[in-house]
Amino acid sequence: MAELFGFDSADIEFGSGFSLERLDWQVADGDKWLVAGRNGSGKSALLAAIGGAGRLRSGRINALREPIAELSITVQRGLAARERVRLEGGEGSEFENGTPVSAILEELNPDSDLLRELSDRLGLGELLAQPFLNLSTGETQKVLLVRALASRHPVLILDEPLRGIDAASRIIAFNCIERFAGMRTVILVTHEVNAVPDWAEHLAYLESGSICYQGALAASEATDWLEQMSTLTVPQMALPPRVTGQASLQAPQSPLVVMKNVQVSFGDLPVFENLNWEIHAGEHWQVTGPNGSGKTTLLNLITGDSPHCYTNDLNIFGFQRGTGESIWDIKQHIGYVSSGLHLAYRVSASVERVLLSGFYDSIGLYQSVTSEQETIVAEWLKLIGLEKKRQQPFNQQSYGNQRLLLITRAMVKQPALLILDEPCLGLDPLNRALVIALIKQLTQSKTTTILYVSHDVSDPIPGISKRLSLPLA
Amino acid sequence: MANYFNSLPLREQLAQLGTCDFMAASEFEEGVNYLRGKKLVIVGCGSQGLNQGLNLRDSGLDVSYTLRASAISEKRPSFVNATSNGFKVGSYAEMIPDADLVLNLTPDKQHSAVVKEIEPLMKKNACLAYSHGFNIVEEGQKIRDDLTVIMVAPKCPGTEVREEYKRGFGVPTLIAVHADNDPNGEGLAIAKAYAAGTGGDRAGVLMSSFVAEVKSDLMGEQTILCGMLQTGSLLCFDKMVAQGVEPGYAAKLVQYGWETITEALKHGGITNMMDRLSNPAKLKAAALSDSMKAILRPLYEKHMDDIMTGRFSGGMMDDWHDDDVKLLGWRHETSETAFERESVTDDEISEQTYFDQGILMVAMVKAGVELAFETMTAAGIKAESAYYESLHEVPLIANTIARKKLFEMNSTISDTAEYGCYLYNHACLPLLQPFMEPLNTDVIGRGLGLNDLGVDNQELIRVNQEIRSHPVEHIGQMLRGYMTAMKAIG
Repeated sequence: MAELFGFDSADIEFGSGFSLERLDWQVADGDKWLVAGRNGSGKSALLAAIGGAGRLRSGRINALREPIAELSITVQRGLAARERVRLEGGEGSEFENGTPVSAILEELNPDSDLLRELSDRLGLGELLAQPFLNLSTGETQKVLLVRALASRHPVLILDEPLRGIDAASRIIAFNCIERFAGMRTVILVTHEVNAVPDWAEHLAYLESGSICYQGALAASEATDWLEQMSTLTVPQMALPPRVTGQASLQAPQSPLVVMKNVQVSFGDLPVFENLNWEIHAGEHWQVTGPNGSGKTTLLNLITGDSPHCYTNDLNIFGFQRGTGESIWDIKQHIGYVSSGLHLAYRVSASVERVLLSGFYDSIGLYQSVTSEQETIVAEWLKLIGLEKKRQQPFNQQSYGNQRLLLITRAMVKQPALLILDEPCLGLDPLNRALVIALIKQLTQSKTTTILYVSHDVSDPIPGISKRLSLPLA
Repeated sequence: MANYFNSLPLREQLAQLGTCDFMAASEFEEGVNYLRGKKLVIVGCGSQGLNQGLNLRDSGLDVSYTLRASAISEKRPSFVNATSNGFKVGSYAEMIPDADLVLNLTPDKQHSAVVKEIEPLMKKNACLAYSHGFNIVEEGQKIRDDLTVIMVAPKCPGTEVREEYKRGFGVPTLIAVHADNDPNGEGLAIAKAYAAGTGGDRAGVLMSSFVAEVKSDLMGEQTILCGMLQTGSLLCFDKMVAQGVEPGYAAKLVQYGWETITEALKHGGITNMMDRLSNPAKLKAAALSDSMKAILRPLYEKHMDDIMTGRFSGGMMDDWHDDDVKLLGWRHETSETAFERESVTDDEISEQTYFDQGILMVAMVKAGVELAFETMTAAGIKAESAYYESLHEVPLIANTIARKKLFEMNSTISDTAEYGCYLYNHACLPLLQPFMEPLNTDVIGRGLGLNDLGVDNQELIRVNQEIRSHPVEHIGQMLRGYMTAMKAIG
């Protein structure tokens, strides 16, 4: 078949300083490619290059002339940024409370029958009238998937299409992709190499900005590359020390969290009714539940990021909420990472300073740091293998490395309560194993209690025994 | 009621105008303690009301809201804002009598009616706070003698006040105590605790006065901040289109140009903005700016004079009483301009191109900032106030134009600022027409397009010296120094 786009010995440079090198890659109309590689290997850069980004230093590009429908974190961020601007604009927007899901879906193709069919399959029916920004991580992902599939664009770029989607919907999502992608060209990027769909035919495997393997996905060589990605073992390691003189809990013997008869609803939609929950020091919890079951809302009650923490009976670290404590009194005992935090962490700070901000619970760093904190951060960077990136801008790191850094930021103070909300989204198998090993180490320390949130019930974390399972609201 | 400023003797006028001092971080070591356990009741739940309230509550303070009975019964947006965020909301009669601190965060226009209703309900020795002093200074509202009156004015829109707080930072803030209403000598302690509760202390607080805040705020917003950007947008767009620049491109260059070029101001003042131009372009911009300053100086002086004498506020209050006929008419007129109606191109314009092709826009910013600053300081306003109300705020206003052009700017700023902006625009457009006539696309729309970037050494030294030695650059360097000491950027 005819070549749709291609690169010949292309060296392409990006604004972030990253380059793709000696790129030889031809994609024919209707091809189904899997693009794989470790965090920071250049997957996002390759996708951007397909869209025409970057500066060609040498070689040749046969540019794509067809429109692309893309599902990626870049697209999600763009839509979220646009929504924030609209909301701040206030009166000028067509929709006072933000653009509803239905309007977001119709942007690429207003064919209402097709949209309805896809929305029904993925269970989005109830959400169509909701403002897009109110959706949970998994719900957002489903919407973007429907939006891309419903478009008539001949090229589909699907960057981690199952990111954050709950177990029950994953098979449905993959079936939808197979069926609605049809004869179109598909570029699939995923770290989940154990769950690559049958329809993918070719593999392009990236390492340090170059394609080091390309060919049939069924070939044994392809299998070797993919296995290498997931079977490397994590070396034994010891955690860096805690900072001396870190604030201690005012009531060390009382539970970390006590929730009594918690009620939360959004508009008329109840999320929790009479929820009771206690977290005691040393009891590590895994919270599971399908997309939209209120996992993030539950965490926001603990962190103080939900206004409902003032309208419920909550005792956090011995502070009865709403009795004169500040959110910083609460946050000093919490380490926190989530997709929401990742989206909000938009500052031009170096990798090192992002980790240092973990000591102050701030986005960006506004206080002077101690040399002890700097030493501890250097040790953590070494532990996660990013010590060479110390002085580089955080916002120019790959998505996976940013996520790994934000997880580490949550850990640096080894807080009384470490809250990890779907932390591993976007991590390659080895980095995921690294994070799980760090969590296991922390569960063995006497200082930190873990609260691990995941949509996936079949995802046990060693060292975590307590389970809270939230039903769909 | 009579204009408060005009009732003061000259020495008092000068003393109050000349108040603006950067406060040391150590002055805020007590945090919100002075207000701990006290009842804070906010009147109004718009952008400032809601976002300040969220911050104050997250700082450990007891915050609730009071709204007009109709807003509650009709479940208006202000009521939904407050209740959906878990705040207690009640009528004036229910909430005000128990309040220790009442924060009046309604629009200027409603102030006198609101104060008239709530004042009799306030308990003895309570405190009334404002975030803008128009009502006290221009309307001359007299507040009961036993009540303390203070101002805490974050120098950003409400949404920014909240976002910066959530990051663990804050926005620069002016505070003041009304000299006529500090019966127990506690006004400053309350204002400091209030500023700490909004996060302002982390970004820097200036001790100001009601008079200094109002007079400088009005002057800044009417002239350089909103007026100059509006007039400049219309003139630059029309010029480019008349000279054959593709209208979608011209609209984009203007809409995003202000934001891009004034971003350079944030980092290094006028000096840095001018340094982003090539040497020949810099000389060109400096010459254009000199010409515009000569033409516009009388207009800036007129605005300052009208603000000082109360003529401006008198005229605007007449329009309030006339159902905003003028304001609404001018708003409509703006929406009908060619610039507003043009849709922008999808073509990429690189950051540097905004400078290279927007020499005239750079010159307009330079002329406007310098003129506003010079006029304010000549009228007795302190350099610190004049800096915040001219140079510091330009990028914040430019951001609004980048979102949705002049419509967005005028709906984000207060009605008072919008009214003043239109006044300026009407006077400024005809004044600049003859100046614009001979200009070409080399200074707006296409760039100089020179192969040889050579300039005369002496001329360049003279212009650089002139830019760098302007007083707005001196004070700016100092204040930005304080800010970066607090906000260490990675």
